[in-house]
Amino acid sequence: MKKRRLLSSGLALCLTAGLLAGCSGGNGSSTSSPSPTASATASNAGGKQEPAAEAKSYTIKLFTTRIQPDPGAPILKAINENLGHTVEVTAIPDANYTEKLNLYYASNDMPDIFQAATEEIRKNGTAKFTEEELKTHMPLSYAAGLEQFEEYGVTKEAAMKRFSVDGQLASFTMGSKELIYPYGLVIRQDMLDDFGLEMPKTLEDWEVFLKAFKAKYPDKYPLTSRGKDSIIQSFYPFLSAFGTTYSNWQLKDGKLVYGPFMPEMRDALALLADWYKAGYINPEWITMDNAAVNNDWINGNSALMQWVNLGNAISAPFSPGSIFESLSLGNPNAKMAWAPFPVWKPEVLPAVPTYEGITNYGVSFGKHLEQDREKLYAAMKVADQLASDKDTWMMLTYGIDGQTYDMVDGLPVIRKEVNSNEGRVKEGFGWYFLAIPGRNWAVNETTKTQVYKEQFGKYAQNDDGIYSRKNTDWAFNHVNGVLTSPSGENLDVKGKAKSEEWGTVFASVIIGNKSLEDFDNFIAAWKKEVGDEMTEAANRLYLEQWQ
Amino acid sequence: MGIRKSRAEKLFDIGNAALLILASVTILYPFWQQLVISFSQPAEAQRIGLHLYTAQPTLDAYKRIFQGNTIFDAYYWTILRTVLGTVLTVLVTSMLAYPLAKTYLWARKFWMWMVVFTMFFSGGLIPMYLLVKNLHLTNTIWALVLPGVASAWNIIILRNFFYSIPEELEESARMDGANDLYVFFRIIVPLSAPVMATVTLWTIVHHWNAWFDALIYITGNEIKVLQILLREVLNDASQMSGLNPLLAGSEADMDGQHYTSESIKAAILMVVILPIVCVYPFLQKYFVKGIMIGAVKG
Repeated sequence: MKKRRLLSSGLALCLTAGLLAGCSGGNGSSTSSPSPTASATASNAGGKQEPAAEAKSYTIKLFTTRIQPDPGAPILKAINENLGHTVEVTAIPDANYTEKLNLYYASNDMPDIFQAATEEIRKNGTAKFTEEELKTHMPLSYAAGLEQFEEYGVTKEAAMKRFSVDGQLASFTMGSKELIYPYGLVIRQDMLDDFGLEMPKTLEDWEVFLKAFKAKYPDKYPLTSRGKDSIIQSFYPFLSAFGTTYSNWQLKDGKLVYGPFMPEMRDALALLADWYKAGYINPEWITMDNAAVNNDWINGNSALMQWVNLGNAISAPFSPGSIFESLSLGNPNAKMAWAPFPVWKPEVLPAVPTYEGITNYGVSFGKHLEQDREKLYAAMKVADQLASDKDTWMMLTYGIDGQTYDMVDGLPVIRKEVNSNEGRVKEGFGWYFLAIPGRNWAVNETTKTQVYKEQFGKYAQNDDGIYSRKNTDWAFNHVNGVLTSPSGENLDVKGKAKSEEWGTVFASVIIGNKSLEDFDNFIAAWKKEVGDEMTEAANRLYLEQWQ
Repeated sequence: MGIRKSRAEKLFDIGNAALLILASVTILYPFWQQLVISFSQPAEAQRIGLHLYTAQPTLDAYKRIFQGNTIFDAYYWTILRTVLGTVLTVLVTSMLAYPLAKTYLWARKFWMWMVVFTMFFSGGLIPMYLLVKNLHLTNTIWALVLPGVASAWNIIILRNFFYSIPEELEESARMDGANDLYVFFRIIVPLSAPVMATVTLWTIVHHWNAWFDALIYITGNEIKVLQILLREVLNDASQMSGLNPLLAGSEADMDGQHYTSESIKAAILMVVILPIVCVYPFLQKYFVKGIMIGAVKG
């Protein structure tokens, strides 16, 4: 009995000691790198330290999404040889990127190269550097960025301001030139010909076309949308005609206004509700996702395909495996054409949603690198080369010529056996998402198909093109960060419920479950609860960068 | 001679049977639908509505999932974590619950309170991540096995069951010279088969379905569990257009096979739940008995 008591007392003591040990603070830092501190002094942030005469080889931790290459993958090895450093890639699915980055941030274990996903990390989790350091250690991306900023309509000063926190650069990106241009609309030209109609230009023209479609195909619906998985894209060509968008902050008369709050949104919904009643809109649109919408198109049940990349060939020879090819195979008489965005009034340019050329977020470097500027410069060089050195970028994107891709008519075509996530993981390429400072157009352009270059040039870059800046109002989302009240309250969080409710109201008005008066009441309530505050915050925080 | 049922009783039986059949169909049909979709052609898989059968069955979705050896590696790691995790969980939980069931344990209420406290308050994700990282368990199988080994809920269930075992059994064994370990493993554990089977089943299901811990603690490809792999396959199927901008909006696979994210989702579901469905019947007879006994007594 005495022995048992002694034993149990001993075990209890061990348990207590273990608990108390867990309560003590440990630095938990690995021995391989200096222990990062959360509030490191910024004394070195503006310093101009010269890199060591002989370039040291570092292990650079890079955080990305989707493709987690095998560490021993041949192309990853080749890229590392090219870079002169060892890149250690950690990838995570898109949906969990922010969560994992937050974990890294909280545990003082930031990667060396990543894209900051939150304002907190951008401010306090990134290494700060100067423009001079950027120019010295990311020369290719810097030079390309300056050229591309012009095309986005952003001055160098404005761009650097976006990348900065308290006057110091925290990130950098060249942006992506392709993304600033609108995606296109593709219409069934053979149906237009069949009905004896010209290409619709105005909403009235569209109504005539839709009526003719319905008369000929009473059981089909010419319009549909991805109500299930992308409601923000729903019927956007027709919202755009009224100069408004589902959820963008647009610049109107020198002020930022939210799309749903614009008076024109009511007119747009009234039109869509009428069209729904007339049977032009698929009643199942609210349950349809990307796959379902594509299926409708392929089976000839709809007349318009929206949000189409300008790289798609819509006449033979088609892009292999595309929905346009599939439509053509099922219906050899189908003809397609690029359609202009409909116009409501001559003085209102279609407000076409496009992506911001550059935002506050680009590639960033871990805060701990402020303590080791040599390694920071090495990481910057790695990021620069991955995006802007042609050879490195080709390896990163396509792999090795003759091994993972072949040059066909001067363009790289990835081999079938490796053209999947699994193939990329095994071979070690394709892991660039969120890991490079944007897209260097001069490098990227060489791999674009002739079709893409022709269509991109004709319809978007050319001033006379139907999707050009001259003929449409590029409705960037002019707010590219968090909205906060003057007292610091996060208005995005406060307004989240109403934003989500907006989707329901939007759909309900179109299908007739709610009236336009309900819409008016909802908007009034939204504005009262948080919308007016959001508008004030948007103008206070973001208007200046557009002026 | 059988008792003749009245008309009302017969009607009741018919109504009862109808309701139970309806309930069974409601429960079983979603499974059947996913099974059918997994064998369906693309156009049919996309169709909204009932899927009672498929006119043109295809194995393309399964072929896609079973391409390469990766899935077999994933099965290996998943089975390993499930077996290791279950064995350790049952062992540790039972060995912790047993002394807590003894009234003569010194400061028993205090130890019990410490266990229950963890059910109400938790450090959260970040402290857990820091703990696992500082113990150098990240990128090892132990990061997936050890954190969940001692679950308060399981401890309470087992403790309550151990209460119900007569102390006389132990005393008689001790009189014959048995020590504590002998009593525990040779008397208590065999008697606790129902509740042990319950805890085992819960733990198996937990480990089989777990993916978040693998996402957080494992950063390489060396240890990839089934749920993570299948999540990647699903992302691959739905992000095909993201990999090649030319295929924006396209559903077709580059290598000519016909699959869509709907049929892959369904095929994944089948691949994931089939092993559990096979294991469950063997443990089911203990399940209800064990949970009731553990919950009621004590």
